[in-house]
Amino acid sequence: MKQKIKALDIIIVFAVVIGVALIAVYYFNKNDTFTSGEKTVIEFDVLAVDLTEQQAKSIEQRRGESVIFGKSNVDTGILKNVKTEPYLWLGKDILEGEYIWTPHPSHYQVILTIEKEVIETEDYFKGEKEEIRIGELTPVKGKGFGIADCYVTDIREVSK
Amino acid sequence: MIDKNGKLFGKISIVDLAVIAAVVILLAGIYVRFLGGPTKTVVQSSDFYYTLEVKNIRESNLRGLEKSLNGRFYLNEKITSEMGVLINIESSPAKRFLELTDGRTVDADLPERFDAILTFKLTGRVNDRGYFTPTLNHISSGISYNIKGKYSAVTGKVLKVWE
Repeated sequence: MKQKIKALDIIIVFAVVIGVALIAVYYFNKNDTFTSGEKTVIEFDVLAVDLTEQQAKSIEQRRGESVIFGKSNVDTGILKNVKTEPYLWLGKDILEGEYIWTPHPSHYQVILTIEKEVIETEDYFKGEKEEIRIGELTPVKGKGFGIADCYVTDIREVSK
Repeated sequence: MIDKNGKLFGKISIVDLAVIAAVVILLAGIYVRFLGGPTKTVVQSSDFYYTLEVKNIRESNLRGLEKSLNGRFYLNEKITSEMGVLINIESSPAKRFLELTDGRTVDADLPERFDAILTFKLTGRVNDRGYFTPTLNHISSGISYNIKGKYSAVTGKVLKVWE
């Protein structure tokens, strides 16, 4: 049996649509600075410490190639430079009462310089998903290597 | 009261009535949650200040904080949780206690590392219970926060809060 659409049905539909629209506007409107940013290219340094010689060499071999960084596994950048140096750890001179950075006898630390085009706003530098800032835990992986416990130590703007 | 067709007083279906009631409750809930409604606690938006102590940071992170002076900071979890505008930085060489061979303890410098006290100005909520961010995070001496600005992310402990 065909039923006529009643005025009450239309009112209910409108009320539900308005309710859903309000929820959607509130939920999706959180990141309101994203569309007001501008594109720029940055280089940032990521420090990985306490690596074996093989780990350090695995990273060095990927200089110039694309690497994935960040927790979301989406953003990629170009590994522009790899600087390997002895791993420095904090030693104590308990005679003189001093802390000293002491080179580890067999382990290394590596500074990976990654170049990436990002969106710059007042509040962040952001790639596809990752916000990049000094002090942020930023895992990096490339072909044949992966480092979880590493941090951004510097950011430089290369060009706009 | 309800006739054989399921209509209340012969006019309106009981099912329609239930749906109307549900929609009214939904809209009322949306109004209260998102657009403001009667609140039990009276809070005022006002400016207050707090200091946050960060310890053992690299020089590059300190430079990043200096670049972020007069910039906004947020809780590390989400960009909408504002933690205020950074208005002052006082930095000093980082120190840590070290016990010597003779049992004495000295407060030794950590080379190439810094401690800093960051001062923030925040327009938040203030009432008798305390000071709150706009999203109702409690700003109170002793609480630690992971915060982020444009250039730096740090973890610090609130030292002092005042108006």
